[in-house]
Amino acid sequence: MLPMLEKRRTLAGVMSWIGLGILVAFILIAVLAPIIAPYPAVGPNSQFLTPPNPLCGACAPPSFSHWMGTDNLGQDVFSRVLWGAQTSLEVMAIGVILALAVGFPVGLYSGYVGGSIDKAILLVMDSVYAFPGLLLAALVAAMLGKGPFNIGIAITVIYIPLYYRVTRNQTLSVREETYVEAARSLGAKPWTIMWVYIAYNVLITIPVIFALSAADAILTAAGLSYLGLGIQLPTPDWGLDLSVAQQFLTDGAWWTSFFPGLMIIILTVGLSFLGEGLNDLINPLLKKGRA
Amino acid sequence: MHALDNISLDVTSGESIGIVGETGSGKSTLGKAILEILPPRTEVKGRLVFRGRELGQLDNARIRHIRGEEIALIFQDPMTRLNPLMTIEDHFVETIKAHQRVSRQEALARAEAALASMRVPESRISNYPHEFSGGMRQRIMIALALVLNPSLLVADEPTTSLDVIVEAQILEILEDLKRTYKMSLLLITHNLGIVAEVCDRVAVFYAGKIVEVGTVDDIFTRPIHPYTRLLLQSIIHLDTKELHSIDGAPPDLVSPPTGCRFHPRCPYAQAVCREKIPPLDQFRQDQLAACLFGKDFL
Amino acid sequence: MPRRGSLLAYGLTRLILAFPMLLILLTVVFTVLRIIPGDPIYALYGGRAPLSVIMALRHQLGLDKPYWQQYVTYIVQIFTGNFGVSLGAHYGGQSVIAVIDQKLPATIELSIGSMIVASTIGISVGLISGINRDKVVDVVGRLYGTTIFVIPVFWLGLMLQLLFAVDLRWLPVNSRFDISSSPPATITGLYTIDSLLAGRLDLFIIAIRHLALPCLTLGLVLSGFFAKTVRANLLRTINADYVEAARARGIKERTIMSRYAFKNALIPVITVLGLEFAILFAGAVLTETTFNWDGMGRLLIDSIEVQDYPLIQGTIIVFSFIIVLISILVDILSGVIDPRVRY
Repeated sequence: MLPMLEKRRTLAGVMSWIGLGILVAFILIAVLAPIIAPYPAVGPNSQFLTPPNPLCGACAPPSFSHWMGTDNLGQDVFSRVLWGAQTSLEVMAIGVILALAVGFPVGLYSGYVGGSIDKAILLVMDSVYAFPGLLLAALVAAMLGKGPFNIGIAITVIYIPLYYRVTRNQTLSVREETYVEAARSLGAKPWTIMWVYIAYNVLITIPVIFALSAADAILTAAGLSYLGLGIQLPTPDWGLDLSVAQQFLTDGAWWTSFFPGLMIIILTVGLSFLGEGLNDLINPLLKKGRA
Repeated sequence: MHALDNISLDVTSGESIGIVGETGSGKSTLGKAILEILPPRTEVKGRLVFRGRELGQLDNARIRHIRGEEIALIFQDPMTRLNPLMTIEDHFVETIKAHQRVSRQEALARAEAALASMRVPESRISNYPHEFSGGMRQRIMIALALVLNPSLLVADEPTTSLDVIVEAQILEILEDLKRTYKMSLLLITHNLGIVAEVCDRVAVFYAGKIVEVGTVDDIFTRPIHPYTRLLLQSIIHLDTKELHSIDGAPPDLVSPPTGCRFHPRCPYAQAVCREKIPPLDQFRQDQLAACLFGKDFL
Repeated sequence: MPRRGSLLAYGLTRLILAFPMLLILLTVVFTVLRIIPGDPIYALYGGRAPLSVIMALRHQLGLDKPYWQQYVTYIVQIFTGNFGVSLGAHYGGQSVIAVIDQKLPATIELSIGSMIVASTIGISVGLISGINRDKVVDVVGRLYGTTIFVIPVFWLGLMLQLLFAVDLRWLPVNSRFDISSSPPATITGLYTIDSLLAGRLDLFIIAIRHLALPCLTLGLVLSGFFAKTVRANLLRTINADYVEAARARGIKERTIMSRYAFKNALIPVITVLGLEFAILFAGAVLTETTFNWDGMGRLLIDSIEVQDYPLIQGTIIVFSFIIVLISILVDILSGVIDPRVRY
């Protein structure tokens, strides 16, 4: 029994490290895009004067000078894919951090006070959670307008219930712990108990949710852009580039859609590995702490 | 990990034997080993002879027929032992049909008879497990075990999770069974009181080994092994509100103590106890003990 | 008075409990559409139409009234089935309900097909994974569950299109039906059902060929969730006490697996089915765009593009109703299968 546990631990560890590595790599790509991208993100930079495939404009298959080919406007796909990391990470960060900033305090409060207030908030959050996230985000995005910041806010709506749920449930179990009871009997104020004694112990579960919701946020943001509700051209964005590329797919120009999608997959797989790995690492800690 | 080591025990027809020992002494493993339902990757070495057949050598189909039909097992916790999605009726019909070719009516009639003998109202046969109390569920489990008239019933702590009144009822049922059906009973328990009430013979387990076997009379009045003596003391003195627990913790079965496994906790232990493994020797007629100094305790 | 624990009583309770959920969803939609940005007409038309047009539109939709009054009108209209009239370029003048009525069957057909693909693949992978715990098959199965779930559904759709429609030419690229033949007469609006009702097997085959790629795309992405849930639950039930007890009674190993382990493992799957539908609808919007599938998702996005406010609102409200309906159905279904739930 013991050796199996060890094996599981290390598997979770490996997954977390791979995930973290991918995330860091993408952050580096986003930050260093101006240096490492061989071409600017916008504007024709094709080496071909006469496009080999007139059907899809200035697009050209992958070659030595354009590793991932060029798109219909003659833009270097590799460069756009690198620059696109900026947009994706920016939208994701705004969405997830705002969701945490709202969901965490509300969850803490709801779980701590309990009673009918808790039940009411729970019902609202659960109802919103049951609604298709992308549709809700699409609606908010349509009202707020395009651009990374607005899209960030739009996807926040999806993840607030998630952060709320996790925080609330964890608060419920931490609330009954001896040290919280002790603090209460010593006359600590509810505010202090909530933010000093409970919040700290609830925070341990947040990284898992953070990673998993980040993966989903990347997908949702890309989906919004793909639907034409997110980022506007000519800003480089994976989802947006995919929707443009779709028009030329039947002409056989696979590279313009393949590579942006691949970037999304690598980043989201990395974030899920990080989330699931952390979950396997943190859960036993939580159980041990309670025993 | 060695849960059990060198267990040798004969059960004759119609006899009831109590297996006693502390929690973690390997008692429950014995019950499952008999039916070969231990988790996969568990190695069972040794011979289990049941009515002249060696169970370890039978193929899976034969073993399956012995389970339930000839040897039945009832478990400690009746709350989780029934499939929550099946009615009581389904449990019975399925069990009977797994062994015998009978019509559904015939199976139902037998099920109702078995339930009635356990004093479970027949009208509740179409209910689901969650609609019964713990005591009722244990009666159902016993009825389910007996419906095929097995010749050996292994009861693994059948009353531990039940309250005292229900426990008394279940024990009464077990005694009844012994009398009316001439069934052999292997009662696994940590409760010496139950053994005194129900059993003919007792085997005392310590750290996966039998340390003493004998009739209930002998073991309770003239125990030989120091562990048996301490075990009896820890119970008898409860009445005088004086707690005599055995010092020290039960041994770790992953790396059991050398020599006599009880030596770290034995008040009479000598240097030789640490090295020499005591054999199970006969000290009186029908009373065996595994202690190097058994003679001194006669 | 229905007996406690009876299915009817349970179903009625669920129905009553679902009402607050519906009201909350409708309120959220109202809040998003009318309060967040100030007002929808400005958000949709802002700077692109003369002020007089905007004011006239606002008045026509009652947006110049106080919020509480708007809210009451909004709720009353929804429950009297009055969703207004389309203002957009595509369906201008048509009633919103009529437009939705045309589009809904396409989405239902896509959703059902995808659910069939997702549950078949997902449950199989989960069961195989769970039975062969920690073996190579299991690792592959788990990896599948994790990765397939994060593949963008529109990207997968494009790649499958590229492979099966553009390269191999086995299946049509997109749309619900061949341009050269006309779809069956509308009875249910589901082309597969309608063609069978009309006794036209040829049309049925066309409909299925068009359904294949979109359903495979969406079904594959959704199957990951099923696979994970089934595996986790199977690991729990395979070692359950009642399985051990059944084995001790000499029940056949095959019966134990199907009636004890599998069936009990599939119960929690019904509960996650509700959540799965939320993901399904989100995916359907994207899949409909990829495959030019003329359903509710396309309608919503098109309405947003042409700023058809009543149609946007109507589509979202219909989605809310469907979500609530599914949550009731899922609860009742788990009540039918699991007797414990009814209490």
